[in-house]
Amino acid sequence: MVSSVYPTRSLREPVSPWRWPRRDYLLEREYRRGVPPFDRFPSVQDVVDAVLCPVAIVHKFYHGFRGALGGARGDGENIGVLFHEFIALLKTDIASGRRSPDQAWDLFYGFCSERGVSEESERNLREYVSYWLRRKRRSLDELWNRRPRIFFEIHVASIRVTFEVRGRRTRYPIHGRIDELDVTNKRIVERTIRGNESAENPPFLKDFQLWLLWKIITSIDRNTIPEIWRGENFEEYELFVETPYRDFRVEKDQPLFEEWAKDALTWISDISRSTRTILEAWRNRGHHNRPCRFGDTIEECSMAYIACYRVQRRYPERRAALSASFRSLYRALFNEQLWSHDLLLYQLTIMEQDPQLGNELRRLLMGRKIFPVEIERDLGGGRFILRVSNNDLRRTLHEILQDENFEFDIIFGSFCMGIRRRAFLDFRESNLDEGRVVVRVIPNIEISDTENAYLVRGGLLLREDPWFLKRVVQRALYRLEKWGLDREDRAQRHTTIRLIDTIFGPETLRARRFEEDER
Amino acid sequence: MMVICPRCGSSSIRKYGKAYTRRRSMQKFRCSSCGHVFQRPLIQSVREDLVEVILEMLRTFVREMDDGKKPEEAGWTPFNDNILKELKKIDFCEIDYENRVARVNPRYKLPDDIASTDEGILFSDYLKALRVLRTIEKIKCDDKKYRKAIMEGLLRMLKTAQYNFWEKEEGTMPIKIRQVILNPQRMRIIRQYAYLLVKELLKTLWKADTKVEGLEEVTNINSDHYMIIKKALKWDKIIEFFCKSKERINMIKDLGLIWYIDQEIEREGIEHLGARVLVLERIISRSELENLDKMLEELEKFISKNSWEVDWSGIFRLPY
Repeated sequence: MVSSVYPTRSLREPVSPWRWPRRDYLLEREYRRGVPPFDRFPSVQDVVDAVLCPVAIVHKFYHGFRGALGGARGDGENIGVLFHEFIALLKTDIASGRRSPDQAWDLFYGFCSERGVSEESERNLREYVSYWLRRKRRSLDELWNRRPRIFFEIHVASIRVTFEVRGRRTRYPIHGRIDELDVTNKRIVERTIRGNESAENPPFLKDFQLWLLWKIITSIDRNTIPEIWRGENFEEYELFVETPYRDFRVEKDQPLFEEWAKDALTWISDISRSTRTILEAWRNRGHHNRPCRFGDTIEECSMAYIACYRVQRRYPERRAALSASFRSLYRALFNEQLWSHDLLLYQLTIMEQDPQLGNELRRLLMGRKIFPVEIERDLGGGRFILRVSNNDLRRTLHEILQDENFEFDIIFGSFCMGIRRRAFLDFRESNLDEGRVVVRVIPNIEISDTENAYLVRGGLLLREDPWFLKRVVQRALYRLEKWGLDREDRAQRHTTIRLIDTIFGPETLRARRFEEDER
Repeated sequence: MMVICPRCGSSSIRKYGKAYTRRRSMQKFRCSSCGHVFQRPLIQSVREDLVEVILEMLRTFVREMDDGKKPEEAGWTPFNDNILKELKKIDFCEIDYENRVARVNPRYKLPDDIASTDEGILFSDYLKALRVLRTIEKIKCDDKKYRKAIMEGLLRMLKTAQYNFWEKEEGTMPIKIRQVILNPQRMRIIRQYAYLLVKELLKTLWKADTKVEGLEEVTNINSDHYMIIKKALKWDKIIEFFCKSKERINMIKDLGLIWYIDQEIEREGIEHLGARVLVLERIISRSELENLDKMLEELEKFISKNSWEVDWSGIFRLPY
């Protein structure tokens, strides 16, 4: 079943092929400056947003917005994430024999209190969970009896995701996260709370998202897949979009999706290359044939009212000047994200997938950004003893931990395919001289077969340069740019508005110096 | 009247009382989804039953302009005879009886209460954009004004640049240059001489004296500083780069014009992206923009390939 059954808009012709980072940039032999000479390493979410609307990508890249599709609505708790986390916890507990299906509601209340979920969110979440539990009772019993191997939140990244349009194959880099990988039943599941009871099709673009993840996983070279999944033939896996109300099977042979993906990646490349493309993005706004128009915007797109057609305030009056001065900052902050975050994604993926550059990159990153560790023991409750065998790495890790918070990203498996979690170091129990590190992993994970893990420092990947803060700054700037008041009397008294109008207004408005007043 | 919560985009909105200010009355609303309270101007300049009709005409105008329709063709909305008869009494409405359509006349001023609605603000943005377009068209016909516009545009580009400098290899930058361009005050210093840099560039490109009336001249010139800045930027080489072909000379003119348009957009206070796009699109074609982009990429390569002591970026660029 395909959610979007419309014909497509004409495909965007790329200005030039995908710009991969040159060897000198990958090996950090060139000074990082200005506009990066390579394209972004897009996430699945980026591609889906670009299919939804190219203008969403402009807001995402330059104004720091997260996802456009059913994205942020207010600052409340994200029920979708909580729903998925709870289902993952429940299935893990049942599959490991810790809890029977009958104890699902006990687990639910425990989960809500542990997470500090507000009363209102708990009520909403309970509604989704009860729908889901009613429908899944039999499969939970099966889970309890068969104890299948299911993995949640699998990080996948590849530089060989290929799309074929009109007989022409093009290779792109993409990374993403699989909600659920059921190895026993050979299924990949994308879970969402969107949709409703009477829906005949999967929620808008969810099928495309799942198909993209499947394309990534099938493009990863078998040698770089961790042992635990190496024997699997992912080409044969079935794809399911799971809502609280229904499961939708997604076909894998999708020529339309191939076209959408290529079109989206062309937009991503062009928008990250030049701001000129913003004009063209505006002219092509909307989905392939769900145009976005004032008063009739795409329902699922959260950008329509928070960015594209956001209400304009009367004050400050010099908003246009404020906006002009912010524009260069938006671009500069985006460039910094590419240099710090996307280049690292390229480095890590190429390190594992390119045999020629792999060793050089490994030497460069080892001890700086990644630390290979072995899992010595699972202490239970999400605690692990890890071992660092290399003496040099031990020393470096010891030095780093002297003056930093003890927080990392940990990937169980390889970077191209692994289970990624946040890891907190237990400094008291660790003995770094002996290369023994004790970590607590959040959320909890059951690992038995995977022996190797990379400790990847920082935020998503890099601790010493928290790239996500650049996005926060972009968002804050954009909010300030659009913020204002309508009431004249209030605006006259408001310090921030008066300050903006003075700074960005004509020079005659600016305050005189104290000495000038004295004269 | 369709009201949407500005915070969450929900259309589940309730009226929440009225507020009166010195200049106008406001209708307060409360969003049932997120609880946000906001207000919209209360429209009193037209009869209550015609408010939605007027707003629909404004919405149609904005939608069609967003879609790239010509201003004279945009905004025409079909209505029945009764409504057309009522609209006839409103001076800012235009009616085409033959096709039984009406629209808000873009040549008339909207009453304040309608102009301050969401629809009215976007409509006004498009009117401002059309005004900028007319100004630019006029300027293009007058050689003197055209040159002045290009000069003002390039000046704006240089004055708003971030001026990132770095050494290719540590210690290669001459001390005198380092003292000026790595000074924390470098932006102020360089921006002070932007006029001279632009003048020198255009003088060579146009092969004539480019003294244009009305532009601020620089006083209190520290010629040492100016020479150092020129040396750091390798301004002579940059001028040579642009002089290499006629296309590049035309492109630098386009670049200046784009920055001038940006200045006019700012001066008019146009915020809506669609309105900004309209101005740029009508003045500079897509292929011209693509060529300009390519030339800027070539310039970047030219700067980084030449082994100067100082490297820089972020000066010649498009205003986003």
